[in-house]
Amino acid sequence: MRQKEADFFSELTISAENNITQLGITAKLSPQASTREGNLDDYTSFIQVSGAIQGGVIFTVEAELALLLAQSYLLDPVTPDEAKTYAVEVVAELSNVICGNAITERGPHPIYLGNPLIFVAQQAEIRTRSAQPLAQYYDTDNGSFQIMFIPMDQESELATILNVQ
Amino acid sequence: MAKFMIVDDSAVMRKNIRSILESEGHEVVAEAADGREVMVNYVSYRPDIVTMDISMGNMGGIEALQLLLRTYPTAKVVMVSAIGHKQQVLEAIKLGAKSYVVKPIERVRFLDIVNRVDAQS
Repeated sequence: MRQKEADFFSELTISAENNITQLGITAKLSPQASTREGNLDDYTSFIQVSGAIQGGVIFTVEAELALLLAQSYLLDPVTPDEAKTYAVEVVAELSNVICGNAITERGPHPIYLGNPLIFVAQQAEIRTRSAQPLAQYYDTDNGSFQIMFIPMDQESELATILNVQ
Repeated sequence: MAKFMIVDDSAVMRKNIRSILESEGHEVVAEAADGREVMVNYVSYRPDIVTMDISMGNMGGIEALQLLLRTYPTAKVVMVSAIGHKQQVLEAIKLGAKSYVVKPIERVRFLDIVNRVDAQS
């Protein structure tokens, strides 16, 4: 693991915490981290990173939290049913902002971000040949979320996502 | 009060920006979900100001800005971007965008920026 990738991941976690907090949601580091390795939550966004750093960012959120994020992110009040229709988009938009705000002046340049790729799946797993995928797990009162960075060690394959249900 | 066109591939962002603008009495005359729709909607609705997301799927904000200003050099465009897209924001300003707003959008700051752009001749 190179230092610049570790630093980028550190900025990602700070950005994720800040953006979630700004929505009025308190996020705490999860004590269950070791048992959740490789498991994705219900709403997952993947963003490819290229340039000075190569790899992929994954932002994955439990369904209940995704609904709360949608209700918090939208400026106008929405019903739970309306929030459900916006949840996927809010997770995508939030992942975009988290990644964008993780690119700082002091970090390596240039870093380019792809557009979010979203998928909704229960009990999916991610497997990667990357030697050191980085992950931080958080709990909130309304469910958990994770932020991951998978450095690209091989051109041919970044990661495999398996839906086990 | 000004007429706006909102260009963003996120329906959530379009909804939020519309909410902010309409709460201040501005009119949103058109929306576009990607850069390719910008020209058609601009010609049809002639907005006073266009808010343009930098990062969009089919045609990005920079490309759409270039296309728009090539045909309508007096168009007023405010770019919307995350902090990390600073290079693209600087490029947009060089190309002729009037200002930019950083995500997540904060209501007071956003209105201050678009109102100042609206006041420009």
